[in-house]
Parts: sequence; C-alpha cells; structure tokens
Amino acid sequence: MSLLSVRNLSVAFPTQHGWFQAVEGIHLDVNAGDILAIVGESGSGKSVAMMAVMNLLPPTARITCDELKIEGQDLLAMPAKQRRKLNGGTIAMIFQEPMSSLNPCFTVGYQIDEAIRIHLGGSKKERTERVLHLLEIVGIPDPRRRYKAYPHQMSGGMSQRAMIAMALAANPKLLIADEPTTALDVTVQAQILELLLKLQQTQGMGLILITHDMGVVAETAQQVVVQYAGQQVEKQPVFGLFNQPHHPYTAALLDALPERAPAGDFLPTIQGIVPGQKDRPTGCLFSPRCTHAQALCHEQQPALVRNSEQWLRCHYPLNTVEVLR
Amino acid sequence: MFKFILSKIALLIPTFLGITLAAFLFVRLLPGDPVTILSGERGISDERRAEMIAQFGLDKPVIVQYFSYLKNLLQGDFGQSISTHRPVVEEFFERLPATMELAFFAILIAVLIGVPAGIIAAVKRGRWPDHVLMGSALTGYSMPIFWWGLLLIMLFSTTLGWTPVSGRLDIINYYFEPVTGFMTVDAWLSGQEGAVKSALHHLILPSVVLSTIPMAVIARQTRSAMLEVLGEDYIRTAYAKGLPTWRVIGIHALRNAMITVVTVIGLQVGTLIAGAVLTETIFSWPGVGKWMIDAISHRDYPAVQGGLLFISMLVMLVNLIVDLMYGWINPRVRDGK
Amino acid sequence: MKLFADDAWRTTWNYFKESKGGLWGLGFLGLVMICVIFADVIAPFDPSLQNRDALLLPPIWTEAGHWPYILGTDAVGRDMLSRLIYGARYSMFIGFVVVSLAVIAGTLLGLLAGYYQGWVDTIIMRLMDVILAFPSLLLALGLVAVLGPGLVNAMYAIALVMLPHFVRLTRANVLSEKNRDYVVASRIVGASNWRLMFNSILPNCMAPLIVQATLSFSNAILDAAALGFLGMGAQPPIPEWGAMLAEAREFISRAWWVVTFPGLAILLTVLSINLVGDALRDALDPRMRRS
Repeated sequence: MSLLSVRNLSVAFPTQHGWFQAVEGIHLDVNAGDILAIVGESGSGKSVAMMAVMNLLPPTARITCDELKIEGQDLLAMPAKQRRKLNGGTIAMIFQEPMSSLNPCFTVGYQIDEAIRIHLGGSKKERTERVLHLLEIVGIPDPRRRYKAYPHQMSGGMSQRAMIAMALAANPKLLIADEPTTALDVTVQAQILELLLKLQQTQGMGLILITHDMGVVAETAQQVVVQYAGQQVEKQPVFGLFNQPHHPYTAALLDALPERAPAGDFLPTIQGIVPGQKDRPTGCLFSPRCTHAQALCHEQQPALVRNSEQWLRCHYPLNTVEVLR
Repeated sequence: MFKFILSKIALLIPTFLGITLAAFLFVRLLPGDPVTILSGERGISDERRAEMIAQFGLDKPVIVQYFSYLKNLLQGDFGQSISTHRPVVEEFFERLPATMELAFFAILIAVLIGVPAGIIAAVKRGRWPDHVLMGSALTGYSMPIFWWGLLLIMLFSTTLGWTPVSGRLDIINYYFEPVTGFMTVDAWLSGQEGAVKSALHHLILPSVVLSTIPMAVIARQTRSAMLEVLGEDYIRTAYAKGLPTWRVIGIHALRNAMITVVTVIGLQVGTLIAGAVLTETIFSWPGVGKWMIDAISHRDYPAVQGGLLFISMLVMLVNLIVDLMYGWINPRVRDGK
Repeated sequence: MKLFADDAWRTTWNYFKESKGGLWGLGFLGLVMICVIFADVIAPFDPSLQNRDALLLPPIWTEAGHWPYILGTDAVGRDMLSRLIYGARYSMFIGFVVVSLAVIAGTLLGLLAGYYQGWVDTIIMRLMDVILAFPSLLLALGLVAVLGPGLVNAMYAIALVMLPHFVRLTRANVLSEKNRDYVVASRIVGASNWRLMFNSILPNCMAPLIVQATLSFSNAILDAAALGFLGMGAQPPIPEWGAMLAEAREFISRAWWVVTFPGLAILLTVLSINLVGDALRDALDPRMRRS
C-alpha cells in the first residue's frame, strides 16, 4: 500500500473569464521512504496540486478527484476538521519563501512549539525540549537563543531550517517540499537540500520534492512526474526518465541541461511559452511548441495512459518500440 | 528604545511650536480690542486700560509677546477665564476626567464591537454577514452623531424611560466628594450601594453615541487589515501546521492585523474629542467639550485658546503613545531602532 | 487640459457599475440634486412661510396629520417637507464650495511642496501638521469663534480643516510621479515647471484626489451640520438641516418628526456620498480596492 495515492486530481479557479484549469488529471503514488519529484515550469500547477492535497486552497477553488488516500485513509470522505488534523501530523509541507512563511509576530520557538502542542501535546517543559532538539537536528546553532528569535532576525537559510524543524515537529509520514531552495542563496541551496535528504532518510519519511531543477531530480528522486500547463504529461522512475524520456517535453527539458548539451554549442531552448487561460490549443497542450508534433497532435488531446510504472500523455512517444497505446 | 522615544519626541517640537503660535495668534486675530478680549472688561477707564496693557504685555513687540506667552505656558500659566476669573488650567483639568471617562467607555465599546465585526466581515468576505456588517459600518460612519444622540434620547429616555436624559449621576439619592473625577471610580470608592450602577446608567447612552464613528472606522479598518493578512504566506503555514481555524484567525492573523488596527484606534482620539463636543452638548455632560462650547458662546476667549491648546497637546500625546505602542507591538520595528 | 481619456471614463464606469451600493448612492444623490435644482417647483410651500393654524402638526400618516403637510410642520407652522427640500440646496452648496476651496488650495500647495521640496516643502508641511494637530471639528469651532458664527465663515473654517489631506495626498503623488520617465522626458524637451506640474504630473494624481474629494464632500456636509447644530454655522431661520435640528431640540419629547427628518436627510445624503466614494475608490484604483 502506498503512503499517498492520488487519482485524477483536478483544480480549477473562478476568474472573470470563466474557470481556469490550474491542474488537470494528476496521478501520484508515494511509498514510505521514497522520494517523488514533480518537475515543470512555473505555472504548471505543481504547487497548486500539492496544496489541494493539503486542503490549503481558498474555498473558491473547485477541486475534483477520483481518489485521495493517505495511509489508506480516504481524505475525500473525511470532514474538513479531521482532515486539518492530518496536516502537520501525517503530512507536512514546507514552502518556497521561508521568510514570509513564518509569522513575523511570533518567535520561532513559539511557532514550532505550536505544532507540537497541537499534535503531540505534553508539558511545556517537554515541548521546549523537543523544540530545542528539532532546532538542533536541522542544524541551527545555539538553539536556546534562536528559540526566542523573531523571523526577521534570521537569514533565509535559517528560516527554511526553522520551517523544516516545524514540519518535522510531529514526525510526519510524508513531507511535501515546494521548491524549498528556490528563494535562497546558491551556497545555501545545497545545504538545505542535503539536510532535507538526510532527514528524509533518518526519519524514513516519504518526500515529494517540487522543483524545476533537473539536476536535483537526477540526484535524489526515485520517481519523477513531469507537468506541463497543469497536466501531468509523463511519469517514470528516474533512471528511465533520464535515459529514455517518452514525452517530447521531457526530452526537451533534458536537452536544455548544460551538462547534457554537446560542448561548445548553444544550449537548446524550448521555443514559445506555456499557454495561458485564453490561448489554450485545441489539441495537445504542448503541440504548439513541440518539434515532433503532427496533425493529430493539433486536433485531439492525448489521454493519460498507464503502463505499469509509467504514465504518459502523448500521441507519438519517443524512445519506444512498443506503442504505449 | 530610549533613543527611539527621544527621536519621536524631537519630531513633535516644531508642531508644538506651531500650535502655540496658532493659539497665540488666535487671540490677536480676533476683531476688536485685545484688552477687552483678554480681560472681558468693557468701558474701562484709561488708567485701568494702561494697567491691563502692561499686565498682558501688549505694549511690547509681538515677537516678545509670543515668547513671554510661551514662557508662561511652560510655567503652566494658560491664562485666566473671563467668566469665572479662574486659571484656565484649573477649569480644564477639573472637567477633563468627565470627558476621559466618557471617551474611555466609548472606545471600549467601539473596540469590543468594531474589532470582532471587522474580523467576521473579513472571514465571511463577500457573503451576507460581510454585507450586513459593512453596510452598518458605513451607516455609522455617515452618522450625524448629534442627531443619533437625540434619536436615542427620544427612544430610550423619553419614550421607554430606561435611561436618564442628562448628567453623570442620580444626584438626588447619591452624593460623594470627587476623588479621581471618574464618576464610576468615585462611586465605587464611596461604597454607596447602587452608586456605580447609577453612574453606568448615565454613561451608557452618551458613550454609545460617542462610540458610533470610531466603531465604524475600526470595523472597516480591521476588515481590510484582516483581508490583507489572511492572504499572507504565514497563514498558509499555520493551516499546513494543522492549527484549528479559530487559532489561525484569532491568533496568527489577528496578531498581525492588530498592528494596523492599534494605530487606527489611536488615531480615533481626535475624532473622539470632536465627537465629545457634540455628545456632551446633547447629554449635558460636564466635560471639556461642553465647556469649550460654553466658552465660545460666552466669548471667553482665553478659555477657548487654552482649551484648544490643551486638547491639541493631548491629541499629540496620544499619537506619540500610539507611535511607541506600534513599535512595541511590531517586533520588526521594535529592534529595528 | 484633458484629465481623462474617454476610454478611462468608460472603464471607471464599468467598474463602478459592479458596486450595488455605489449605484444606490448615485440614485439617491440624483434625487437630492432634483430637489436642489427644482426646489421652487417641487416644494409645496415657501420654506419660511409660517402657518399659525398648523403648529407642530404631525406627518400625514398619523391620526392628527393632514394634507398638505406631508411630513408635518415645525413649532412655528412651517412645512417640514418644504424646508427639507430647500435644505438640500444648502447642504450640497456647502459640500461643493468647501470641497472646491480645499481641492484647489490643497492641490496647489501640494504641487508646490512636492515639486520644489526644500524650504517651501518644509514650511507648507509643518503648517499642515499644525492644522492636523487639532481635532477637525474643534479647530473649525475655534475659527468660527474668531470669524463669527455664520454659514459662510463655517464653510471657510471647514475648508481650512480639510486642506492638509489634499496637500499631503497631492504631495505624495507628485513625489512618486516626479521621477517617472514621462516627466523626465517632458523636462528634457524643455517643458516649463508650471507646464510640467499641471499637464504632466497633476492628471496622473487625479484618481486618489477624486476619491478624497468625494469623501471630503460628505465630511463637509456633516461638519457644517454639526456647526449649524451647535449654533455656529447657518443661523435660523435658514432651513439648513443642522440648524433645523438645533431648533428642534426642545421639542424632543413632543414632536418626534421635527427631530427625526432633518437628521435622516443628513444621514441618507452623507451615506449616499460615502457609498459613491467607496465605489469610486474601488473603480478608479485597483491598488486601493478594498476587496
């Protein structure tokens, strides 16, 4: 049984010009102790999909889903209050902007303590001990002093460490990290990522890593989901994805990696931009930018098809002898 | 922190000088004889007149007059009331507790109702509680409070007989010497049974009337501050942490929204004093507002001058306190300085 | 000088339409304006005509009320409805004059302060600080005490009290617009200071000024009514709503209608203007939108 299983998750937001489909047909499975990476350009609905899993979206959002289970518990059948309790307890999430994700009016210690109080309880003394312990394992020096620090007194890297400590407060089974290093300095990025991976191993958590850094994906993940314009276009184990990408978009992303490009040449880019709400093509959403697109691609949307561990949404997959259809 | 306070006070000095200059010019700009204006005496002999001119220093250049006026102010001499021949300072501070008591209860009512109303409106944004609350707030904001007071008197005092029409206490049944000047406190100190109730009974209508506009402003500002805060990342974090909704809104969001709201509450003090003039007139409340109106209608210019000066200094003081509180309530400002 | 393109007006109106409150406010103001313009035609009586046979007559729907005194009469037998209709003239006139004075003077001072900065700025802004240090109604009262009670003096006083808001607003906008590319560009091509201020900078700070002017309009009416009520503004027998209330005070226990209607007129007018002001703010500046 997988830790988290998501079937056909879609999210739409009301706008002045009708519904905007931010996420369309996402299928995920994460096993305990596994790392799943979700990659895609900004605006491809990576974060929105995960916020839907955490039930963090505004009430105006329209969320549809065939199945949403965590440890076998059906989230869709659960009352909102009970579902909220899973947040921070079973699933925890850390965000892109650590500085603005911490409440400026409360000390770091207080904010971590709050999570412990809600999920684990215990006396004030026990909780403080735990906060200090957490601060220590995320590598914050001088935890006793930092306990009383306000978020504005800490750097971005420190804030993200504090966020991680907060996320770990109640020993979650699954941690969702939404581009945890994007807003940080390059030197700090590697440290934070390393910390996350170390903690994931020692705590035996499942980890969903949202990123647009293919290099990070190659080093860390077991499974990779590629998203484009809200749609899941491909899912593969990491080895297969990097060696035999089936979707042209995945292939193009990989070709754009500096370490993969032939030396001395210009880096290949993907022409055009992600379609917005108004200029959605009728066929495959990637067809206007796809170098392999054919007539069918412009006319008909490909369906998401599954073949054991692989999911794919393409009429003419690459690197394959058998036809997935 | 000490430096922070000092720098705030230093910023007020030019304004303070400006206010004193305005008050000084106030009497000099009045049409008519300055001697008459300052002393209230008419048709006096030349001898008496010369005496007066020397007393008020009117024979000296205007700039010298201003500085001696300023010197007097700093020594606590704000002139003498024409109608009572008592120092303006005494007259003012005798009545200030009545106004402060009224203002205190008004702001209490305004905060206790306005803040929750603003929170509810923000949380229920766009739905009927929001529309009802904000509609009421705009109506309150548009209220001519002198009429609102008359209306309430008409309903609760004249028709229903629930509340007294005027005054601060039922003086037929209770009597005690003022100690603090705050009727509720004095009544409590006197130990007379029912006195506190009587004082509150007299307070309720005036303070409701006076609270109307601040309440509306506080409700509107609380709503917009809450709306802004509720869209912040840390609110999402609080939900992701699994906190119950009441805790996210009542603690995480409110604590941040309060930074703005406290400032707004502080800025209502000016509105409150202007409102006190009207409220005290309607309810014959013996505070500084009514005193000012009486002084204006009796042409007691030294009293008007002193009163205006005191009130603006009071407002400045309150604004300073609000400024400092802002630093205390907002961690980012607190150790930025 | 064209402050807005036709297109901008249309966009503003499209947003404005979204606000139900704004439309209600506009509707009621239309009604008030009809009273203002056609008072002589609509009002059944002359506002100062006294009828000794109809003193303190209650409104027509009560038992003692009778035609043609729809809203009853006051203590000297003047028709309430007619007085209210004529009173609309005073309130709108006060609002218009006060706001015009404050806007013109305030914008000029704000432009000067923001454009020249330095000592000009310091003097103007310190002066405004002094005005702001007094609670507005109290300062207006003090000024009226100097100038003497009366409608015109009350209007000057209220305009002066409102001045700082316009000065501050204009100055802040000028400071932020001043270094924008289009202003720098005009300066490079040799536009004069005055030309720059009026043709380039001012039109771009129009939106917040319009909103502030609308909200000040309602404040002016309220403050003028308050001064009238305190006996410092319009003097009887002028049918100004605040002054009418002052006259009505002593009949509070006998004739509810003489107290109720003038105040209701003030409340509804002020509320309408504020509704329009809120809707305008939402329509004119997306950044200032409340929701």
